[in-house]
Amino acid sequence: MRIPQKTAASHQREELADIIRKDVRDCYQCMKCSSGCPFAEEMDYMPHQMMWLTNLGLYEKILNSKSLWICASCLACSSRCPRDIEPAKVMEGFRAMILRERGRTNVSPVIPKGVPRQAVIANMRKFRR
Amino acid sequence: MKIGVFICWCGSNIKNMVDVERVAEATGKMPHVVYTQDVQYLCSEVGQSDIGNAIDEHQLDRVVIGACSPRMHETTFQQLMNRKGLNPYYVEIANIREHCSWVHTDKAKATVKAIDLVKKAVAKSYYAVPLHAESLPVNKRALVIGGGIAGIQAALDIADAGYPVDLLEKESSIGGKMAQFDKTFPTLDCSACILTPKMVEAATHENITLHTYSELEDVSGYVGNFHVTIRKRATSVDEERCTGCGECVTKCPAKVDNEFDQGHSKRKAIYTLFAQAVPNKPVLDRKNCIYFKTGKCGVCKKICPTDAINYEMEDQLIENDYGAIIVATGFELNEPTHLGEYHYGHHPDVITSLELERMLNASGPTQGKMYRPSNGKEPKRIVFIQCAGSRDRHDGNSYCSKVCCLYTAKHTILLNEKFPDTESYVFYIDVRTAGKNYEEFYERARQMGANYLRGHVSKVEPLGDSDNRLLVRGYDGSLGEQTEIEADLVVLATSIEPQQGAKKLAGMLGISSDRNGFYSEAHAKLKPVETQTQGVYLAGVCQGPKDIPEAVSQASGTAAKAIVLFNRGQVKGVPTTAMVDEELCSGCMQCKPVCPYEAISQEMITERAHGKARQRPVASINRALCQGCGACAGLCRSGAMDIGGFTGRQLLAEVDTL
Amino acid sequence: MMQDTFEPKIIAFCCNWCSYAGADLAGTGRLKYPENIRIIRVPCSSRVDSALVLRAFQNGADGVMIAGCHPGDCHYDTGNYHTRKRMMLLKSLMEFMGLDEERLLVKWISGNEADRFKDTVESFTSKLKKMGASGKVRDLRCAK
Repeated sequence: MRIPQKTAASHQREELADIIRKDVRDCYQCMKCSSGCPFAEEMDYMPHQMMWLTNLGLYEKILNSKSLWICASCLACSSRCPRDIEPAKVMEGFRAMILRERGRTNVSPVIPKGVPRQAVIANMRKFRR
Repeated sequence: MKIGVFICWCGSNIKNMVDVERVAEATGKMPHVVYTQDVQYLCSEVGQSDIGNAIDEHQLDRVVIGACSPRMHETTFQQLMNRKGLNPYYVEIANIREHCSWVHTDKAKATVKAIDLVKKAVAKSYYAVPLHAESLPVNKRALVIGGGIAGIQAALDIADAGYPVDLLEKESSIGGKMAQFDKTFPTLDCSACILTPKMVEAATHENITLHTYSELEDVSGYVGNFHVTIRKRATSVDEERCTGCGECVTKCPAKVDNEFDQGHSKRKAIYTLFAQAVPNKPVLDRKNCIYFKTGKCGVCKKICPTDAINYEMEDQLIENDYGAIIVATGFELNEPTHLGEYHYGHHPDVITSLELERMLNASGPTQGKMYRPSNGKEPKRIVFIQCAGSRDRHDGNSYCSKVCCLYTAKHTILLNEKFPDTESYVFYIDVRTAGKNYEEFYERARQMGANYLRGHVSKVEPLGDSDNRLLVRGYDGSLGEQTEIEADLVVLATSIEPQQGAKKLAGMLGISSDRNGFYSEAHAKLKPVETQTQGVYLAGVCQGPKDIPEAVSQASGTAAKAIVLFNRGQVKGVPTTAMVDEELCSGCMQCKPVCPYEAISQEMITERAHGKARQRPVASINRALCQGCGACAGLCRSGAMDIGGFTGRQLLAEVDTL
Repeated sequence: MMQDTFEPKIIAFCCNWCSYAGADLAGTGRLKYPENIRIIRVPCSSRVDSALVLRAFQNGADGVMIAGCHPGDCHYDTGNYHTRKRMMLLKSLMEFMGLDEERLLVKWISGNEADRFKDTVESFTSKLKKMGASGKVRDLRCAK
């Protein structure tokens, strides 16, 4: 990788910040999120790398990554993050950005009935209490 | 002679491996032993009163303890002896814990060994001699070497306590490195704004005498009575006459690189170190002066309205006596030219952090504007390389320079504040923010946009574009991939090093340095400001890398030590010094060259032989200087030399019992 | 012969500032070493006079160890250099007397080298076990 690279435009950064309402700059790369992630082995960018790419503004890499869709939103990372950044939420933010721009999903839905997994989990999160 | 033997159980620590009753019984049979007892904890109040009662009851005059290491509780028992009116050197300790119960596994054998060790101590105590420390008067005047923030603080504290202080500085102004800084972390206080009032206070304080442009020439003597020679280098400017108008500086035609600005500006051959210099009087740098090089010029002499320029001025030697010396000589920054991979010295846009500090400083060479030395343009992307020469066993210093993490965070913050469109990238190995509010400061740096990449930079090379930019090849530990950054400016966090002359000064003062060249404190934990030489104290970075608040508190610590010494008015020497038996001494003086403290001298004594008085040379010990190493005693051919507490007779008795 | 049961007697002179502290640290760290050693505390290894070493042999010691600070590290700056010179000389004197110079061990052990202290004691003890008892030096004045 060589810096400078094409980094996220300010409206994209704002959009993400708007969705996640978290400051990813707080991340100090302790890698606790990746160490506890049950799917880290399957990911092309591990959670801490996703946080880092977010900070570097390399959204393109994130939006094209498989990791976004491998993430099961088990929230292990969020519950353990010492900086309270909630990596799962950040991932969710990027997924939401993609879903807002329909048709960009690069992974075919796992559940054939056409319900995106994210929708199921989002529902669970909304109504869990 | 009545000896009491006390064996400590140390709870189960000794008792489990040593049959303490058998030890007490076996030693009780030795001659002169009139009382034995085994006690659960000798160091406890109960144990202490047991010993005290036994001393009273049995009129004991010597006490032998079988317990933990004498390095642990020797003073405890010596104090008890003192309280009982006995000489503290009448107590002898056998180390049956660290050297016996804790290191052995066979109880029978350990008990035999413990008996041997206690018997050895009893035998030694037969020949114990009472020892007294000598009291010596203290000269209530302090010398502070180094006029940086640590030296200034120490001088001010001692002066405020009412004692006279001489402050020695080798540059033409006090202030030290702190005067070069722009802001201080983590509060971003303006460095000069908080330093200059202290400088002025030091200069105007009635108890402080400044010796700037001066160096230490020679030191002799000992705690309370140091005799010091100071060399005041010739400034060629008469201090009395000079008003500091600066006319000479303006008119001087000779221009040279300004060291204070790290070569980013020019100064004249006659110059003041910086605008707020204290004392604010110029000095003439003879190496670069046209008059001194060619014999022609003399502009400054002609222009000076008070006729203060004196080309014939010579170095002055000032002699003075001091009771305490505070060493606050500070540090130097390593020139990272030996780290070829960073291209420092080959590309003008690779600079050190101090150079950046000067650039950022509003009173610096650019009045606070950032520029690329290669083309004068403002840098947009700045890469910071941490540990450039620190933590590098291969090609640098193995230790951590401690302050670089924080000053780099400060630099990124200042850059982001002043020039919001600059990008800063920091390549680091670890970020260390131990200190009050430091972690928050680092957090702030990251939040303000500094990109911290974990990984060391392997190479900085010219990119070869028209802008003459640099390519920094590093590794991004988070992404796990090689990362190249096209940079406008590369800043190296250079390593803090001891002053060039540190070794020489250590030799003069008789203090020791660690393997990195920093001065060694007497004890890493509990005597952080003292040195092995009594009366010499350490403040600031000369003892090891540290930041400003640490240096200041250490300086106040040294001041407290000096004030304690002055208040007491006298010093107690080491009681276990060498002693000469003049009757045995043949005056061969073989002991003199082996003494590391020059405590031995020759003395003439008069004695009567065959009815006639005759004079004869013998060795004589200065008990204030002697530290009791025993090199002389180990060598003495006639057996005239002995060390208190470790006399030849005592050691022989120990050997004989085993 | 009786190599298995022979227990050598070792007398060690340890500098108060380094090896004595190192031995203390070995104790604090509960390291284990043979019981054969008896430590005598001296302010500096240079305090040890050659006569003391010979007296130890005379009294039936099978080995004598002198431990000081590492060269350049002496608490008193130069003491261990004197020790080094003095003990070199003593070793050649021992050879001359017909006493195996290997029975005198001069070792530099610092205050935090507990392991080194333990290893030194262990290896010296096992070496002396192999060498057997030292029967060479006797005090004729005390001969019955």
